[in-house]
Amino acid sequence: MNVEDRLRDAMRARAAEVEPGDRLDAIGTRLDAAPSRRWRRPAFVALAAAAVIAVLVGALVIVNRDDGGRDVRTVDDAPHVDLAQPAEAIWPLKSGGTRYDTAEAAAVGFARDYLGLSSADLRNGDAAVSPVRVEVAGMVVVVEQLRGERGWWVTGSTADGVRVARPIAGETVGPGKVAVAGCAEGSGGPVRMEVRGDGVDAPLGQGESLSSSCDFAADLAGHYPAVGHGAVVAWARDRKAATVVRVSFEPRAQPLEAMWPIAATAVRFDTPAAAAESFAKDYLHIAEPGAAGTPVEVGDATQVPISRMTVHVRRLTAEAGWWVTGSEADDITVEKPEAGGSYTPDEEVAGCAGVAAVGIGLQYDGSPAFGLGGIQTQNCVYHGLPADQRPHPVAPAGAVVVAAVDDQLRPLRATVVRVRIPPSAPRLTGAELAEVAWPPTGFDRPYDTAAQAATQFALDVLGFRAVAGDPVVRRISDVKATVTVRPTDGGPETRVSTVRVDGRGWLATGADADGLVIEQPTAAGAVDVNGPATVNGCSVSAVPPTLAIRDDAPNASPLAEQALGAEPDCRVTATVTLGRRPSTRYGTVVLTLEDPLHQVVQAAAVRIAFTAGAPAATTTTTIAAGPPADALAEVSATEPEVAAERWAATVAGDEVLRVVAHRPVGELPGAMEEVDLRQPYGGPVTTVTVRRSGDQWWAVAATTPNLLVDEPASMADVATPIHVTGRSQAFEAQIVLQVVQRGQVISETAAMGGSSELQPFSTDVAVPKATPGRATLLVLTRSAKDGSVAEVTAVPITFR
Amino acid sequence: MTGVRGPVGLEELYAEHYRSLVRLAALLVDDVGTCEELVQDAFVGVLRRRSAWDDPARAAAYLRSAVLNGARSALRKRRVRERPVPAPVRSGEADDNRHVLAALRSLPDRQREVLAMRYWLDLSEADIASTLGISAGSVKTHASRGLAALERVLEEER
Repeated sequence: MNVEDRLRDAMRARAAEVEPGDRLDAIGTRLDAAPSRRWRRPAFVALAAAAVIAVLVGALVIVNRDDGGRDVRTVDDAPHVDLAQPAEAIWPLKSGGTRYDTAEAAAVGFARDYLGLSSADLRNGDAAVSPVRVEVAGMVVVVEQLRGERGWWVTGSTADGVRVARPIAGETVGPGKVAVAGCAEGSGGPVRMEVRGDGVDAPLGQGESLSSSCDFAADLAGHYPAVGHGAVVAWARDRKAATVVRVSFEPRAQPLEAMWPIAATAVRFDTPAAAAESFAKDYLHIAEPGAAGTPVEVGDATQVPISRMTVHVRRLTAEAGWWVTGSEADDITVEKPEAGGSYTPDEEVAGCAGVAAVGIGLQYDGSPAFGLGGIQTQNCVYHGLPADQRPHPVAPAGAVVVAAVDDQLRPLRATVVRVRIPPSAPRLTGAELAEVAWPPTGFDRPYDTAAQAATQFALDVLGFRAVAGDPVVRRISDVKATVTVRPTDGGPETRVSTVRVDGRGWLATGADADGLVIEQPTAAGAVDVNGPATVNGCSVSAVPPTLAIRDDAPNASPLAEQALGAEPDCRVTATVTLGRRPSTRYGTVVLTLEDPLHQVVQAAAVRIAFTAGAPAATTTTTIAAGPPADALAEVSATEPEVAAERWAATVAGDEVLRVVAHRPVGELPGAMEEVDLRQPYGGPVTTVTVRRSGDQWWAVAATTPNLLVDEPASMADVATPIHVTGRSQAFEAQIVLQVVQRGQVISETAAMGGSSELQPFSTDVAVPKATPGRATLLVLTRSAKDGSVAEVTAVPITFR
Repeated sequence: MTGVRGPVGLEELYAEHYRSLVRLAALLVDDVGTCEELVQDAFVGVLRRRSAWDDPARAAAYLRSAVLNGARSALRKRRVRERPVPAPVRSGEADDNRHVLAALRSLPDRQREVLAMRYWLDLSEADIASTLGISAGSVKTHASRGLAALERVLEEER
């Protein structure tokens, strides 16, 4: 008997033992006896809000407590709106359960139940084609059918003679006040204005304009929600109708001091212990954090012991509740970075831990749960990079997490340091670094060690006459090292960055020095051979630096060279034109400091690519806005790798496939990228192709070498059943075929291909629920470890 | 004219769901008295929540959700109060069933709840997802992991 049958049997046996008595009367008695729980509503809404926001931002921000929990409640001094409400719709409330079969009914319900008009008089209605404008009670009510929602929804109304010029529909308003302006004809009294939040009975802000002229305007001050939607209501002077405009409330920014709770949610904690417990469970994802100990006040802050950690919490000015500003595990200290300091993700995290290994992670504000990279400690000392190696910082602040971990890298306790994360140049994958690194591809001098690569880079590219002694090598990771070189013993230091590429040994990727740095162009940036090149940087030396742009031709003179003048502060700027065309594809921009004998003593360098491309503006204008026709799902992001992760999340549920690499593809720069995703603990790689449309990136294809689909072709017109053929290699040969339409899995079929090698598969997928239009065929495998989606190939299709 | 369905009667709702919900709770929480209280609380909640009360399907989902939340809360408080919780032993219950239920109760909250709804209430993935407020994909994942963990625990007990 398998485990499912055993489970069913056990459940039946247990159920047979349980014979509840007749308790209908008891329910009535409890109902009568129970005090009004109206006060609980904000807390309930807030918790729902947390869950919704968790989905919105991709963060695992679930406050896993009911409203009757021991001490975790949301603080009620800020209004919490119902986040379940569709962004477009004012009425009905989605959480209320009411749905309207007709536009007219929705309009009447809006007039009576939302605006509170006693005699909502239905006079006219147009044809039932969304959107519909319905005349009711002196208003034209706009009623629409929303995608994915049942029934008819009110999205706005206009009272006769009342026009609202500001805000416009869909505008983001707040946080402290909402400016309302417009024109109300007629007479009868002042123009009353309200700001309402979804699901909140009382107006969040209100005011009146006493002007007898048509124009009205007011700034409606209020304590508006941190997130969500609402409406601005401008009443006609006779108060018998209103113009209602849908608005969104501006999400509140995360306070610089605190990482938890997430400010853009409605969740707040009214005790230090509640904040600490949620931090341990929901932020650090400690499986069994236990209960918090007795809080201890230390100055303005409060320290809460929990799970062998001390969690620092405090109140913040202008914010409700208690906020977590950091934590200290009993046996882990973090020396770098400093709490409250600036941190870039390629900086080493270092400190001391009384455990054999630690996990190091970087949690961006509002990002999905962080990954932990395992680092061994040696005599307590550890140093290494966080697991999150995104090419771009995705938030201006976050926290560095150094955790004691179990054998599966799950956190047990952690020291967490709040950091600012400045915007930085795009960071490159190992493969991309190798592409532009020195020596160039095909150059017949690979270096066995990082020190050799750095020394030769200093001599051949930076212009050092000699490199003194043995360079100091600091390994940052298995594939990265920084090598410190000096022109003479005791001379000033220059740090050469190196990267190891399998099969090619160590390569140099750039250089910098204390007080000497190149900011533009960035690493792997472009220098146009046809136009002037702008170089920005900083030099604190009293000696003006010299700028050189070199190609990789051996023993060639620089393409451009210029002595730079002194500027205020440490700024260094230059615009130079190349004196000749480069003879290699890549090159180096070098800033050097020389001694009185014109010997290079210190240098900064970035590797660049020479281009003769079209102006960027031309590129931009060729990219259209809106989702591409072959978009796999209606999810997008402003960053390519985030778009890929979001799409993957629609396939894999809340099991995140994480970015391991990404690279531009295609002829048009910045238009398309490939993003490699993999489960946190390894496994096969799924490559998601994302395409930019406007300022958004959309997933348009996903492939894995283990799941190849020959038929149907991408964008093929299909009918049910879909004949699917291809080749696959999967654990026990099992693959799963799903058809997704409008975000729903409408068909799922299993098939078999190869297990130890690619073998053909062929099956017919019946999709009885398919409707004409776009859909996506997914071919995927599930992890043998836990059943989660391990890899996926996606094919956009269209049902006839 | 409107699409609002009329409120369902308490008796009807009670007759349809009370027993099965108590039994659902009993799969998660061993003490039947506590289970009955949880379910009665859920009914009081749905009666006070007009919007949930209006729609029978919504009322059922609300009740399920409230019972699961209540069971989770009861277990959490109990864990804090009297850790560790000994596996309940009852006369007349077959050893295997007892082991299976004990193993079920040792699973993480979500896995336990998904398995209970799937194998006791026979709910669809969509209904489970709706009750728990998670995606259907997550339901699959929790079910898969829950079964695997259950099997592992039962293997270890052999």
